[in-house]
Amino acid sequence: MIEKIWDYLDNKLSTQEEENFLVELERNASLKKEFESCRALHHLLQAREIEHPSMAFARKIQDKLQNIPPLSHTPLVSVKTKKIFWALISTGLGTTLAFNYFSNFKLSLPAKSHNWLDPLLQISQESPDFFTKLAILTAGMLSLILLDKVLSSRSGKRI
Amino acid sequence: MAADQEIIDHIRKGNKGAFADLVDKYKNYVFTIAIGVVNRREDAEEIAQDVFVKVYQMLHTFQGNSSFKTWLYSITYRTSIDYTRKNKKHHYAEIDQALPLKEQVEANNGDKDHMRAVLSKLISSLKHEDAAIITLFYLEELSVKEISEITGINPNNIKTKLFRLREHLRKTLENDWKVNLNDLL
Repeated sequence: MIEKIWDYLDNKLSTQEEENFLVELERNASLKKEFESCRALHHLLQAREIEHPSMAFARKIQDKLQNIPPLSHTPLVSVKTKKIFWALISTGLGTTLAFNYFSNFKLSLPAKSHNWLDPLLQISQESPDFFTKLAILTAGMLSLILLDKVLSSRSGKRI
Repeated sequence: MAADQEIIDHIRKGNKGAFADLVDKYKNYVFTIAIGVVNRREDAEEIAQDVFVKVYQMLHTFQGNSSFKTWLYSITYRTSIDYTRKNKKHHYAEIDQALPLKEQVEANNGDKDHMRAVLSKLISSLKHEDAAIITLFYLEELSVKEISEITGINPNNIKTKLFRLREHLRKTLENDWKVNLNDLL
């Protein structure tokens, strides 16, 4: 019932619920006592006053803004950054395609062929998606690191 | 006073003076949220200044999907919480200062103005997130949905927290500190 009291004080009850609540309030002395206590706290909380900063507050902000360069309207990502980004994506895709090619090529090689690529080819055969996932993950990580550097240098500090 | 969007448009065009209007309009609310969380005027003032500097720097990212007020308060909330995480020592020092409040309450029981000040101190001794929720709900008169957008907490959790926090405050005042709340009506 306490929840109902707070819902009533917050005007969250429907008309019907409110009527039922008020009827219950009239015939339940202990509920009435709880209600008065909640209402007093509610009014006390509402009566809290807005705090005011010092008189020099606005001036201090203006002083800080003097040291900040004007808002930039240049594109967030430069052409150079875009090129690097696409180069990374291309590298990731190229790596994936290359490993896919080698893993297919292995099928036509003699069974006794051993070279340094064998462990990698074995992984690719046992888990065909492994290198694709690895390449995408690597490209994603590098992109995020790059983006972080660009944003950090742009804003001057981390926000 | 001009509408927020109008002021923002002026600032975006490079009018730094328009930013002063925005600061003037919201400084008290930003400061109140901050002080509700950190409970030290000096820290709250530093936080509020940081908030407005961030707002100035990030204004170009404000899309208008939510109201400017909600956006500003979410920056205030995050900055205040981040500050308390970096400066835990300060907050606990304030809780220590709040302990003699019980004696003060006993001496001034029934004085409404005094009780308001005591209540503010009591709220500041809550967890930072909880203090912010109470402040946003009562002082800013924000809805549960708006508080949810600002804090990133699920609306149902906000409702539950509000209920528990108010009950905690009521029980602390009545049972622990022997305050007769009905006398304050």
